[in-house]
Amino acid sequence: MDSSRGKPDDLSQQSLPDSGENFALVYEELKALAHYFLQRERSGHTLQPTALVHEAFVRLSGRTAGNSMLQNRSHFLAISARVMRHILVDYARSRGTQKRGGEMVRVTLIDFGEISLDSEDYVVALDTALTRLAQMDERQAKIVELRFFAGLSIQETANVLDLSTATVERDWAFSKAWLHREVERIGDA
Amino acid sequence: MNADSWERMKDLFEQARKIPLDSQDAWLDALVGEDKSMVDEIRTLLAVASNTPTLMDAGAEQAMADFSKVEPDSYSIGEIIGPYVLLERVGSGGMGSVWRCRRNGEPEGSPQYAIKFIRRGLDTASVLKRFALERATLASLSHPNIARLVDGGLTQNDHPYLVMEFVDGQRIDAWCDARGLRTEERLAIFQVVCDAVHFAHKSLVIHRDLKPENILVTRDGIPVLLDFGVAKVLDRNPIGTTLTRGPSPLTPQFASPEQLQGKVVSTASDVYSLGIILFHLLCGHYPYRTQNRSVADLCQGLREVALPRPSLVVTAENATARGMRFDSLRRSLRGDVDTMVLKALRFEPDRRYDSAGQMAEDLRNYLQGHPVMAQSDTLRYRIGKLVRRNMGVSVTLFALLVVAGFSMFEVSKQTTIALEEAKFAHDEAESLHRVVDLLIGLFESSHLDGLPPDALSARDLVDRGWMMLEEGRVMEPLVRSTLLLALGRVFTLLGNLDKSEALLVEGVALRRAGYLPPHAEIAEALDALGALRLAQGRFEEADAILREAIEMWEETWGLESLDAANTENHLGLVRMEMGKFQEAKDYFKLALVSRQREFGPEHSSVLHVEGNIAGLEFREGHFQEAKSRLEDILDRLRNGQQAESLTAASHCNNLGLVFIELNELENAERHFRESLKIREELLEAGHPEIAKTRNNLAYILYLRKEFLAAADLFAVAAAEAESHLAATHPTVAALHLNQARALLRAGMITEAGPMLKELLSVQSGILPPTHPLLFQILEARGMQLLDSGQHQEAIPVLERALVFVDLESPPPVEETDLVQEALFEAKRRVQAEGD
Repeated sequence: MDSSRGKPDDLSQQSLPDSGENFALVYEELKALAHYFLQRERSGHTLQPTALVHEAFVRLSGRTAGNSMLQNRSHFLAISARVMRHILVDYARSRGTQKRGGEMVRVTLIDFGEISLDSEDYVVALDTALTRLAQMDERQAKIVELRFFAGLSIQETANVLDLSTATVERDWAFSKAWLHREVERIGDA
Repeated sequence: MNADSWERMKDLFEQARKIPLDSQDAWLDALVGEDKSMVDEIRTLLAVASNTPTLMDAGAEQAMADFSKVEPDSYSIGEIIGPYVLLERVGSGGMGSVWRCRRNGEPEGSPQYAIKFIRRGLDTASVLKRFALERATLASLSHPNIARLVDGGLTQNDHPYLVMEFVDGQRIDAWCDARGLRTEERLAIFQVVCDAVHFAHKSLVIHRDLKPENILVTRDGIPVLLDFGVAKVLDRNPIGTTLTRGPSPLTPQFASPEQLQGKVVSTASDVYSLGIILFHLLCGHYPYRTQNRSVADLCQGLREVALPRPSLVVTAENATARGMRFDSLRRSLRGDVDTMVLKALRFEPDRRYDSAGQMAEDLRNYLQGHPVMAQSDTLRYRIGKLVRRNMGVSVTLFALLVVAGFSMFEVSKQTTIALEEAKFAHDEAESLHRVVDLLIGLFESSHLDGLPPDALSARDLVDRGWMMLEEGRVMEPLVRSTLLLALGRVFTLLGNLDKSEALLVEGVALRRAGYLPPHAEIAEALDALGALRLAQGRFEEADAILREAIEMWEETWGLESLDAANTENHLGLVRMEMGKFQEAKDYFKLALVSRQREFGPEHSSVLHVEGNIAGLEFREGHFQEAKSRLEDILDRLRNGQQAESLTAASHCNNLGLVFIELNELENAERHFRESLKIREELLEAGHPEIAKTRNNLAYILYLRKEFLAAADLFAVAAAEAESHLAATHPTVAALHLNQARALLRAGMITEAGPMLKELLSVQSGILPPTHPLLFQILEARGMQLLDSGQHQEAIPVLERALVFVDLESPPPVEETDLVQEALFEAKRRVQAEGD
């Protein structure tokens, strides 16, 4: 990808490798929280990813005051979005495998634009597509992570990435279409 | 695809997206010189983008919701799990599925167990490790109302499971509803539940996930608690104590605030859950909603918002389910039951019942007709405290009263506004509905008059309401009393005390006739009347009325309730006016604690009480404290965008007075002017509050020795006050006194004479003989007589003033010394003339 464009570069400097200490910290917290909520069936209680991330922030800042990551909320959100992606994809994979007894099952397409993919398959396929998107355009991939996995609004996403809302909106529209098409291809394969 | 063509594709996509759908194709066709495969891809993307929303738009939230829908359950009847054989799938809980089973090889009719498969995602090894550690404790939990945890292990697929005694029963709430149990029957069975929880607590086992699903009632009507110890076994966090931290499998609706926050969990957390279950069991509703709320939001809400009383949320439907009439269900919950439930549901763990056993005890007290601890404990504590405090009243308390006569330190009347706010939150739904209907009726009648509804001011509306009552158009006594009280309070606030008088006196009479004392409805009416007597300056009466109200609160909602807080604040004001500062402070503190607890520290009703405490500090001569407190209040108001409010005007005025005491006249004047500006903008001309601030500005002139100008300004203020208050009102009297004093200092002794003479004769008949204002009038009159050469007449007046020296809390010694000297001088002159 062309990494010489200004703004996204700032972010990539901020973002940490997946194995960073902060990542591990956020991972632990979010995993615990997500597990907790994912395991509660029939409760009618759906915790929003945004709330989950916010919650993690509150817990972590209570526990690790002074951590520089927590002083930079944008940075925290960026890490959280990545963590949420990992967690959900892992979870989706394990459930998908569990359901199919380890076999890969072809995804069925019913109609153009409307996929009957199970959420598990969708999330796994989306993850793959997202990795491809990141190779083309890292900024777009970041936007998708923040929007889809952390549940941030256009405005919040723009704030975190220090972009204009118009840019985020434009990229989001394109990424959505592109990813959707890509997910279908993965399903077809 | 390289970076450039990627960018190009994005760009074209963006342009095309802005074109109407049916023209997009044509637009794309018209593109020249673009890579055809790229244009095709854009076409595909546009088609995707125009299509129905996908999971992408719903986001991970939807994915998560979908994830949690399906629970794989691969077990089947007859399957052997460890030493057990599965008989029937009996449910699927938050942690996994539950099966009825018995030991493999044992005959039918042998003991049955419930086997609970733990879902994936929980760390298998640590579950088993913890189970091994807890096993001995859990096995010892032998109690007829607790299902024991007996075993645990791993399936062939490394799936952990727990085994407990099987209970054939129905959920407690369903069981009660199916039998249409009434309030007392529900309390009776719940008391057994509390005892069982207490038993477990004594064995150092905390349940941590108490909810109706975990309380089954057998065919014989015996409640049995399930899953004791399970939460701890499943906890992902370190072990070793009965206290623990972190997210364990809890249920938000029943979890205590400290559990939600991931803080230390104790037996008090179980007490809280019991409170929620009981709340729901009794009235059919939960005290609050947890769906779609983040924990942070939920906890903040719990800290700041008062939970509703069970009696206030019941509906006719709930009553039918209990085989009761709506009214009798409410009555059965009101008072003690409300208080007991809410006692279990305090935000702070240490303010709940000390133990589940104590809660059981209190339910028993209630069922047997004994007083409940939830109320009497705090009552005894408070009365004891009040009595102890008053044993030795400090003689310095009543200092500075002389100045207080001059300058009017206001106690905020807006406390009554807070009362209105509290009313809306707490008033009884039904009569409120009817009152609202009436008010809507008022709007509608204005509509008939040809006026658009918004042409009416609030004041017009109040006047219309008053007319309706005057004409006797609202006859149903209890509805009428509610309207009378509401309007009476409004008129008190507006300073229209005569109208208020008629309304409130009738309101109290109706309530007394309609309810058996002690009753909250009567207490509420008494409170309103007491506040009026306070505004009228009839302090002795106010005191008696408000004390009766307080006694009724003690016996109904409790002294810690918000309703009682209103009365406590009013009583504090009355005691302050009566010069009983320490008692006043005790009452303010009581009110402050309740309001802070219910509304948080920044709420306007909390600031009002703090303002009153500042008033006390001022009167006690603690000026630095008063100054800091008032500045802090004003800062908080400014932060809340309320710098221009009447509340701010009042605090501003009072801060000015503090500055006078600190000898900072510039600052004082600045604050008075600020206060006056706000008041003149927001209040009608001549309002007593305006008069008070003007009095204080006049006092500045007095201090600067511009006595004539001061006298004039005092006169203006007195006239203003008199346009709204009775001529004999202490406020008016104080203004006249100030005017007379300024005249005396200006050397206009003959002008001051008649004024002081009248003041003395009128107020001697009105004020209690120990009222500080009376001392000041006597002092001024004595001085005036002496100065005008009437030595003989001065002597009895000054002697009367000296009686105040022997009071429990006498006027400041400088003042009494002055009176002593004047008396000595008067006697000397009489002697000299006689010689």
